[in-house]
Amino acid sequence: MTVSAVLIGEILVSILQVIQFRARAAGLADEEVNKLLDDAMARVKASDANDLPDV
Amino acid sequence: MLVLKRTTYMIAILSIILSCAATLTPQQRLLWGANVYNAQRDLYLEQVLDPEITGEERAALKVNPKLITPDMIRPDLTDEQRKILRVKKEILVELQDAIEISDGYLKSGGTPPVEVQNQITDQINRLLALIGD
Repeated sequence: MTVSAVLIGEILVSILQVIQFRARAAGLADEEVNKLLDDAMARVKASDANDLPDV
Repeated sequence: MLVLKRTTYMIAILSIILSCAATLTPQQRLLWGANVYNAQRDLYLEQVLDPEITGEERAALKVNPKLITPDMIRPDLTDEQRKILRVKKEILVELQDAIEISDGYLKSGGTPPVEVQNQITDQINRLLALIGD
C-alpha cells in the first residue's frame, strides 16, 4: 500500500470516527452519557495538549 | 487520487452539515468533544512519532509526551504535513480548553453558555476541515 493510500485511509477513518462519536452521543440517555463522560473526561484531564511535541 | 480527495472533502463537508443539523444536550456535546479530542490526540502522537520507536517506549511517550525529544519526531514529515500538524495542535489546545470549561459548568450544576458549547463544535469543525486538507 502506498503512503498516500495509507494517508487517505487515515483521513477517512478520522472523519467517520467523528461522525460515529456524534451519532453515539446523540443516541444515549443522560445516565449513560454521564457514565461515559467520567472515563472520557478523566483522559482529557490527564493530558495537556500544550505538551504535544512541536514539529 | 483526485476522486478520493474529492470524496474526502465531500465527507468532511457532509459531516460539518450533519454536526449542525441535530441538537445535542450539553452533556452529549461534551462527550462528543471529549471522545474526538482523545482520539485525535492519540492520532497526532502516532503521526509525529518516529515509526522506529515501538513497544513500551512508544506507549510511555504517548502517556507522557513531555518526554519526546526532537530526535524522536519522524524525519520524513514534509513541510506541508508539519504545517497541518502545527494547526492541529493549536486546535487540540483550544478544544481541550472548551471541553474543560464546559465540564466545569456541568460539574457545578450549571449549563454551559451557548458560546462555550459552540466552541466545542467549532473546534471539531476546524479539525474536520483540516483533516480534509
